[in-house]
Amino acid sequence: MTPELFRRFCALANDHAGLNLQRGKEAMVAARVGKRVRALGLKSAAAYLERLEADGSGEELAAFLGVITTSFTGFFREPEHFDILARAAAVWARRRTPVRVWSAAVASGEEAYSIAMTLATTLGEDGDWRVLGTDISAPALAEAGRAVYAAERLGSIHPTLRRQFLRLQRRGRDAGATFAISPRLRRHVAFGRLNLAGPPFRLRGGHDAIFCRNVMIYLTAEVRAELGAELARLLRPGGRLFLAHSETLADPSTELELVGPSVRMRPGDPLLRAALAEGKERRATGH
Amino acid sequence: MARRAASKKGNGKQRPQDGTHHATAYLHAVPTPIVAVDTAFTVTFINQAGAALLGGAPASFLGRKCFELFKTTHCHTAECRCAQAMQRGEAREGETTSQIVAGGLPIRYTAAPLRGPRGEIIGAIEYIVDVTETHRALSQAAEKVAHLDNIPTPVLAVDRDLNVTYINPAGASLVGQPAASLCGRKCFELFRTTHCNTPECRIMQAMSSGQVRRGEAVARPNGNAGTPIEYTAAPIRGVTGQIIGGLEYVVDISERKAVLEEITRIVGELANANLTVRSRGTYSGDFLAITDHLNRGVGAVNDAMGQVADAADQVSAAASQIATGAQAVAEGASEQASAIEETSSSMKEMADVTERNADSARHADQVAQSARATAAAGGAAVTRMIDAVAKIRASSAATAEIIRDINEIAFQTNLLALNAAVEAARAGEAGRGFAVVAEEVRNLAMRAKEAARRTEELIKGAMELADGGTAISAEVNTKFTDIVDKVDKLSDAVGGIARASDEQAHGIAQVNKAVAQMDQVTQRNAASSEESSSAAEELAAQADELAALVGRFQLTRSAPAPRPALQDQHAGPADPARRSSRQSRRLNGRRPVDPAAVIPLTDEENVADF
Repeated sequence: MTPELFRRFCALANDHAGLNLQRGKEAMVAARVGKRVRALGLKSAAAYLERLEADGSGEELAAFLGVITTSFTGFFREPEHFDILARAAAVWARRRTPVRVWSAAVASGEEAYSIAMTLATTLGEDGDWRVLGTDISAPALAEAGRAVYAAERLGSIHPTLRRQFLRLQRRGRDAGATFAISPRLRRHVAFGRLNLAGPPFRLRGGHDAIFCRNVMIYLTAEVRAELGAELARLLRPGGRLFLAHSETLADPSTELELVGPSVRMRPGDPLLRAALAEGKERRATGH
Repeated sequence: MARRAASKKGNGKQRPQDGTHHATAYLHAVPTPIVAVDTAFTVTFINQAGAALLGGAPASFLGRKCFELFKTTHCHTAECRCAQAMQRGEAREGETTSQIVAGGLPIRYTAAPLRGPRGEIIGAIEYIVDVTETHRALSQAAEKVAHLDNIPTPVLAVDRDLNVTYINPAGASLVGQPAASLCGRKCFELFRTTHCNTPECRIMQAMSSGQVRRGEAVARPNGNAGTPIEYTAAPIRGVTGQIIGGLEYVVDISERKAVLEEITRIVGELANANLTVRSRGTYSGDFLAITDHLNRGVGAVNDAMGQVADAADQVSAAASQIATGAQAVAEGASEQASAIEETSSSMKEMADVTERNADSARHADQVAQSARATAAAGGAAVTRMIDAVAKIRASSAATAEIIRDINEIAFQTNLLALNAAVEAARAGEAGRGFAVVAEEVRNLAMRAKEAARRTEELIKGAMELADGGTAISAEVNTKFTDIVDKVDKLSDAVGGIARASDEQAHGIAQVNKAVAQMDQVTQRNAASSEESSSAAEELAAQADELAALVGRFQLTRSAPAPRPALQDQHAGPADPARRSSRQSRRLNGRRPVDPAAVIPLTDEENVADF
């Protein structure tokens, strides 16, 4: 891939998804673009770029953004966050209002279902709670909607949860078996396509929690700041923003308070804060 | 026909019946010469074709001796087939040459006995076929096949009745008998193939269809297990185009058969993805080349597949290493990020403290400045007080002068009073009152002196006190100067604190900047590790798929280091670009990318409702 070609692909990724692709990512961009080149039976990345730029429907652009973004995920990644979510949910249970949690970069759905399992355990499988999963990649969302996962991906789910929420889909040798998320869990979870680089989002807001993990790391500083502000706006007072452990808001003016490892809270829910403090103490004494 | 001949012999005395008449008509219509004779070889019937051959009308030849007419080499000999037929009572066939034309006419004739009403033989009927062309064709063929003697492939010719008319030495050796002894024998007796005496016989097919026919059969000339042969049969035609025999050449295909079977077996195994199969036979010539190439080809594919399997294993291992590495990097990034977060918040606290310090320093400076001013003012007041005390002292000194005047006045007044008392005493009685007054004046003078003395004492004390006050004031003045100096130093120190706080704040800002940069690096690392994880996952999946694809093949894995020649010849499978492109095509084919088919992409609803 020529430097010029690389630059133009990066510019597209930056313009449409706010991706911060620097020099050194040539091989990655070439490999990911290659997927589309082969899928369309084209001869070269240059031919693909032409096709991409000529595409008026936006479908190919969506496909491009789907492959150029990183969709790496897993069940109960950074498990501490789910402990925090469970403690928060225990407080929400007393509030008796619908609980809504948004997984903003859900990829192939593992995070949304991990959230759902956590909420189902705390608020009950028939509780009034919903999870929305959004992502920029349509193929990833397709996998999320299928809700079928290879056995080898399920190791990080607690055996109890596995028994409760997974159904054997296909028998197979070793890792060949697949499991489906139980319908009772799935009905709480909805998916939709959303580009996080284009705030404001058409969401009602007032979310109890937003998981936006391993997104910020890919974005340019400006997009990151805009996204951070937008996520803060969409939280209800006392709502929690979960970033990945390696991420920071990098916005000194944010009103969100750091209440846990990469967990921030919009001020205004003393009940929750007390619960968190209690949890923190418990954790401290537990060690 | 016999009756008709008999009636002719009866010289037409009997009226022929309708059937006989018809038969005669038919015989005349037959294009082949037909002649009937009695036991003395007298012609009793000759048809149109026969008469035409002799050059006259049929009637002109009746009653003549047949040997006079046809003049064959068989005539008057034991070879005469008519004589044989009459003698043996059965049909006889033979070939001979008639002298009716110059150079001789080769004919074939078949004779059958004619019997009388009691079954006794009364003559013979013969039909004659002109075999000139047959003979010419056969002689031509013989010339041609003479060349075949030198051909190592068995070649033989047969006549229409499958009598061997020619066989070359190779053919004879296949049968295992000398060539000369084989001519005239039936070919099916010699070769005993699986086609012999069946409709499959290609020579019969060739002769009946007039076309070249080829077939495969198993020949068992010696009744043994048999030799698979391929034989090709072609019709041999006479001059007029009629088929007079067949020529066949035979190829021993036992080796070809064996090779084909071997190749079929090998290819069949290959079709079942078994790459362990090899040709083990020893063949010659082209067959050796074919089996050798096949073996090398399969071996090369096997080795390549083995290498692909190894490569897939290695890729799989590498992918898990990458995944592990990426995981470690991710964990490192996480730890780094939390350290950065902690550093950030510590720095924020430090910045607050520094700012408070700077504020305090500024305030202390203000207070010091104000104390300095106050001390300076105190110093000035003390100076003024020293002046005032000096003035008091000067006034006291002046007052002391006045007191000395008063003391002087009191002394003189006392003298005056003494003088007055002396005068009063001289005046006696008359002066008695005056003496009293003088006494009183003297008392006043004494009192004035006393008052002046006490005042003098007081003034002296006051002057001493004023002197002491001046000394104290001077000391106070010195102290105040000292205070101003110290306040100045204090002010400098506080200024230093304020400046240090500023520098500290600046330093903290720089640290914050560095932390922000570290944060960016950390996040970039996190992104990279995430991307690596994702790539590793994909790589592992592809390696698994590759392994599964290769796993469908049965391989010989004990192969030592592959022969260099093979590697050179078969660089293809090792070409990573081609491999990966094939791989990805397969992968892409496997994964349908139609989200709409899987989840209703009612984005707006799903999202807006949330």
